[in-house]
Amino acid sequence: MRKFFTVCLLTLFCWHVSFAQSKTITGKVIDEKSNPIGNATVSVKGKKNATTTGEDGRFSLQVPNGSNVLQISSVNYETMEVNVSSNSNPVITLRSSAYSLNEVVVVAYGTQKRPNITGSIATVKASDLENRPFTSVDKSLQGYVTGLQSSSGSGAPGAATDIRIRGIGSIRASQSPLWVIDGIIANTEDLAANTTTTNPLSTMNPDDIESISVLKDAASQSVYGSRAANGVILVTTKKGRAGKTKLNFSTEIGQSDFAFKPKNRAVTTSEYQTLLRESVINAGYATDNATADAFIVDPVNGLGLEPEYTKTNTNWIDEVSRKGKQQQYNLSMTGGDEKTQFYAAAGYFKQDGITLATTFKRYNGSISITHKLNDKFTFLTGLNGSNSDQRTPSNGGAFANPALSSFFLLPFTSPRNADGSLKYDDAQGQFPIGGGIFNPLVIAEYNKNAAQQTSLRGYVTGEYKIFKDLKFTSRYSSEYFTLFEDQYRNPFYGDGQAQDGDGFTSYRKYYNWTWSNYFDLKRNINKEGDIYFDFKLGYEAQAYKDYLLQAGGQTFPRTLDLQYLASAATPTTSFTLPTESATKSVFSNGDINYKDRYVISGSFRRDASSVFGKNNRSGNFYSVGATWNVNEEAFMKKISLINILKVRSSYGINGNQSGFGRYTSLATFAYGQNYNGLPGSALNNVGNTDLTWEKNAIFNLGLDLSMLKNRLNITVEMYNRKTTDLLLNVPLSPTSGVTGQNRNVGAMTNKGYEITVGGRPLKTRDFSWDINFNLSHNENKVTELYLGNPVPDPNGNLFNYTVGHDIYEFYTRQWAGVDPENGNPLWYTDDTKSATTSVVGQAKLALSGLSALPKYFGSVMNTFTYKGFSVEAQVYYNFGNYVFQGFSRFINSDGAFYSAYGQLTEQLESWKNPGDVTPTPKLVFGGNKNSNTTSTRYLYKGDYMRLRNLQISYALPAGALKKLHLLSASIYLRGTNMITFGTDKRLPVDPETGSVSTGNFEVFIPKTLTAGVKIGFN
Amino acid sequence: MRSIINKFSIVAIAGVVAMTGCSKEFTEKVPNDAITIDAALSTEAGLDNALSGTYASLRTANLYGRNFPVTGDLMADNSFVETKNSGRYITQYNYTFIASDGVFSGMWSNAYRGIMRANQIINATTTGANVAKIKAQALAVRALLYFKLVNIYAKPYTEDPSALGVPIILTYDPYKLPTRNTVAEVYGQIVNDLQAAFAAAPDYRGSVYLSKYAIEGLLSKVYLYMGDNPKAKAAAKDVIDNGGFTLLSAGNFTSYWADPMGEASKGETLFEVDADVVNNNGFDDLGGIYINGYQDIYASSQLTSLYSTTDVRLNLFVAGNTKSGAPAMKVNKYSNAQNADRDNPKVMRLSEVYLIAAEASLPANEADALMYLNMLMAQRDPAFIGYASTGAALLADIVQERRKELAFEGDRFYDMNRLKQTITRVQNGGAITAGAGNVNLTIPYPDNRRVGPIPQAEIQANVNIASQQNPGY
Repeated sequence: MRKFFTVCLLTLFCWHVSFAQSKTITGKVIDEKSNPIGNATVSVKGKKNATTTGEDGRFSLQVPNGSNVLQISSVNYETMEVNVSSNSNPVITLRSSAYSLNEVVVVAYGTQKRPNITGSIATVKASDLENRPFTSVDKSLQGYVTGLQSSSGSGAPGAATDIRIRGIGSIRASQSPLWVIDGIIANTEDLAANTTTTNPLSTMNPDDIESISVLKDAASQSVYGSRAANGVILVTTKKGRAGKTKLNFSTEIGQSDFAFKPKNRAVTTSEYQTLLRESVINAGYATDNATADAFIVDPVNGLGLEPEYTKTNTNWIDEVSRKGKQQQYNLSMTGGDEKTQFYAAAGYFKQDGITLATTFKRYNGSISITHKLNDKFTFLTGLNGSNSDQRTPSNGGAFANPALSSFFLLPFTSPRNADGSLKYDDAQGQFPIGGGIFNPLVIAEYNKNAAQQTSLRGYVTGEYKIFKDLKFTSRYSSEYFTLFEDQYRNPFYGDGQAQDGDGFTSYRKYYNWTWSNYFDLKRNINKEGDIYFDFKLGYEAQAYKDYLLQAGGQTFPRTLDLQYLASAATPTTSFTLPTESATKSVFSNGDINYKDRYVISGSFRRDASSVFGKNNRSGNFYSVGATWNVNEEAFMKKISLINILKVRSSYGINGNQSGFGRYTSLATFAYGQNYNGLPGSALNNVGNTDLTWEKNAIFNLGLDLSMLKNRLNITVEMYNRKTTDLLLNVPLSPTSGVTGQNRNVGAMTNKGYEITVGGRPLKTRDFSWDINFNLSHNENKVTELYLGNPVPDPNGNLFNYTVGHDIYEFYTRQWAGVDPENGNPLWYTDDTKSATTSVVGQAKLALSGLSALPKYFGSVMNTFTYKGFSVEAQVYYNFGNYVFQGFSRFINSDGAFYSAYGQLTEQLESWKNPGDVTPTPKLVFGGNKNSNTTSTRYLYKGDYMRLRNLQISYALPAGALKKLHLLSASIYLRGTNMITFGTDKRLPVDPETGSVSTGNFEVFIPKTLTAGVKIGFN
Repeated sequence: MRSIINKFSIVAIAGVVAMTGCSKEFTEKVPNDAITIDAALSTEAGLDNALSGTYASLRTANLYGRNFPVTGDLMADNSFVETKNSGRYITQYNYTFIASDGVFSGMWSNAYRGIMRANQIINATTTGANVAKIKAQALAVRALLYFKLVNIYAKPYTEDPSALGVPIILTYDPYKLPTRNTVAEVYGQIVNDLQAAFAAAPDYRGSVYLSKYAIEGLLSKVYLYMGDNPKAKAAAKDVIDNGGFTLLSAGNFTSYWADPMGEASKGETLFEVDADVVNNNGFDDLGGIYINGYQDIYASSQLTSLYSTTDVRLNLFVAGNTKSGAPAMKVNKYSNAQNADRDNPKVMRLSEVYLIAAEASLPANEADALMYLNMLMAQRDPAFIGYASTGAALLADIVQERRKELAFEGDRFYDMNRLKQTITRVQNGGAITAGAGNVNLTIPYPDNRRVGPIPQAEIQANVNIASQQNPGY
């Protein structure tokens, strides 16, 4: 390594520097509101002379004689060209870019101008992230980035979100992208021990984010090596700007409600009575409604319902929900001089979900300082800290899950006693009768599920300009994170009752650091200055160390006032364990550019990771890419219709090391197999000294076109990802005493395309209309598994990964509908669908051809501005997937769970007479031939469209601002998830159900209406 | 220029230091809750820890923690699954299980996991004063698990000793793909292991550990299952006469079963599996399936009607309703399912040794058989004057007392198998109904379903066993 550097050094000194004759241009770059734009790139068109503006927006540049056009570009602004033949002190105003093929974007270890990029990078700008009613930034990405699917099954404030970039890249390891926040290889894994869902990204205020870059192909990702395979999301936080100190304040309040209320809802009491009568008669317990009614209330031979049961009708979904509330306040301050700039911000965010006992509250503060010691040395530091409190109820089949209870509880039971008090223990025993699902109101009031997250993310960076063209950067960035969870389950009722109350506390802390050191050399190679290269070479080390402490106890005093383990009589759990992992890397990337026409890029990284087997601990990753900016060709200059025409392509290999488990390569004996109070040990892992990365080879081809003076922008991309060496648990003979071993054996592909069309159909002096449409399509196929054997989904039995099929193709019995002759359920006997049966045992599990993965998703965004007014509307769409709701088996049960659980209105469409064609079989109390066995019957079309964002805002004009002594002021009204349409009419859950489209009775997803004010002042 | 070079050097050196500062160890991390296999087994203390781990393997709900005791009664005629159930054990009750059945897969893989743990101790080269005693217990655990395996997955020894048994694995090798040994070979291994264990066995140190007479008690049961009554009787008699254990009295009967703690000094229990406040099966605890938890399974009226009203064992039933409201007798043998300290599943009790001694006295010595049987009965039903039957009736009485005494301890089904009896069940109120796809009320002997399926996971992972599946699966 050392030798390599010496060679580099020598090479540097061998280059000779020369300048042609030139003049000096000094100027200033400002935005539309006259604020200076710092760090903008000012270059001489067609030449490589370039500089960047200071934080005051000022620049000074040597312009060779004969050149008169400057190009000015900056992140999130449209690139401008200015003729300076007659003005050597220009003031240049940049327009912020809605969608631009000319912008400067943040890339791995630096920034780059779009035309020079060979890879596939999408950006999201600050204004699309600010003031959203989302607890974490990952939720804001939905619809903004082609190829990126952001889907959150849970509407719980603070919930995790599934992000999948260009399909599914792994079976057993992580499918989530790498997040790099100000240089930190950040942890974004939900580390909760007991809380249903938490999200480390929720500790970050999205308002502190300057820009987000999503790296989607090998050319842009591979420099992140063994962690890049599922895509990389680069987050850059806000930095200071020079000038008079400026304050920005924003606040909003809002209210939320259900984003989607299914048409296939829980039945009312009178509807339930209809179902009961019908099912009791069909089961032979009665002959008509009168005898059925008698049977229903007969406590000895019948169902034993309360005689007066029809007098109670509880709408449980209303009982477990409420109007959600939303508020946030953000204050930021920025200023400084040429040498030192700062940014400081504080924020408060509070959200009460629409489900009982769901809330999220965050306080955060951040500061960043840039200081130029001299022309050569720049020092940057930033710190972002927050503390959040979260309450989240149970999900899935937990008896304490309010969403479950909203469908499962019988409409003729009531949560309250006649005197209004909460009912949990009535004369007949527990509420509800016979036990099972708890009264959600009591659980919400008596139990506690709290999570508290504290995070500190920061960086210290030194940049040293060794020469004009050679820069050395050393950056140490780290995150410190704690997650406290406190659970209390009361001694009176519910899960805690049998133990006289129980408590569980989990404390997880981690410290995660990344130290990057790299040289960046930017040079002209020839005298003409038309061959230019940018080369980076660096070293990076990253280490993660966490600590987990857990304690539990039971037998609490019979009061709700004492909820901590200090009051538990019997300790049940005590556990501490630190774990760690580390990766070290050498990396390099670079590109060579000829006249901005041709760009060739390459990257290389060698990683060594503690996660892998000692035989395969290190691996090499690379990429190559090329761009042809056709519009820079002489022959294109005549075609004024086309402003940009660019073809780019890349290929490369990167890897996935996340989600393997930290010590899975080691053969070990673990403790914890304790017996009679004494420590016990046993073999816990077979180990695999050959274990290594999942490898991901990506080919990308892209075309960018900008026409009609940049009023129409089109980007089309296609890709082919081949993932090999997939981590799989290879089954061993159970007689060995171990059941499996982790090996690198499988393979799969993701192929797809992405289309973005942005346009400005209308533009007058005061009015403009922008439209942006994007579409993503991906096809996943498993191509290789161990011995070709299908692999059952380790998390359930809905999928059976099979060679030649989409990974998330549902694997279940094939529902063939209702037999019109007799109302019996029918299934196909197998996947050939050639014969049907009404004996469930004869219906084989089979691949259904229906996938949990959408075929198409994307968004359409329209923005209208008229003077100070603007209206923005974004519709997100998702097509082609199916949603599985396994719980339908209980609530769409054809009699099997009558008088036990609530039922869906779909049950009312039951078979009654021969010849009836109905979706629901004949209702038979006790069940109709196991008609409710899990099958494709409980798959629903997952198609939906949603008005994701509707925003109306008004910015005060300059005159009014002056009177008010303000720099800027605007008010807005924003609706989020306002309308959902295009859904399957039978769908009983919100169509947004996470990346595997499986309904699990999560906290309901809200629609939110917020109103806010933003002001800027000195 | 010189100063530039200097500054550059400093920075470059800093960079290089940053690079080499991270040595090779930087990417070598080891867990804090696990150590290498060699390190774990190299000392006597380590071996003792591994023995705890081996005992702990018995506690899982897949073995003694629930599956063994529950299926041993449910597949026979002692219990039933009610209509409003959590889905557990339905295929066992209905006799609709297939090769991929979770209960049969779980028992297989977890039993072999326990055997693997025992093997690692038995084969360790560690030396020390107590190593032989540690190994003796590992041998006994291995024998116990093979005894369960061969009875679940193979024909009874009493029917065909040369039938396919289960693979005998005596060393840890994760890549081995074994074939099935014969039933006789497996029993041979069990007897060898128990004899070796008995020879080196440690003294009694509480009921949750295997001691000399607990091992001999197991041996007597193994001989009984082999149909070798003289050896079974000799072993049982030795335990009764010389073991120093005391038969559970009628007066202490209820409190014995209510107590979740093991015995610290010799009493009724020869061996039980410890489940305590910290280490237990949580909601999947044994009693949860009966009375405090899932409450899916209830006592069959066929069983409860066998007890006379003066029988203390009737105290272990609670009259009540199933969850769906049908009157039923709840099983209260394991009443601590949701308490802090959990019930210890019993593996071998002195009462059973009396029953073995009684049964094994037949046909040679009916007087002894009656003596052992009536000694037990005197402590169970003080009002009962005692059995006086002879011949086949006496055997039937002993077998019926085994059923009554050992109910919900997982023996009934295997007794009926070794005695080649037809299982005849009745339709209990509130139970899953009989019929196609539902409960089979009569399971004759022989019947393919009396022998469990070799799990699909084994068939798939092991080509050598693929052709040795039991008939009918």
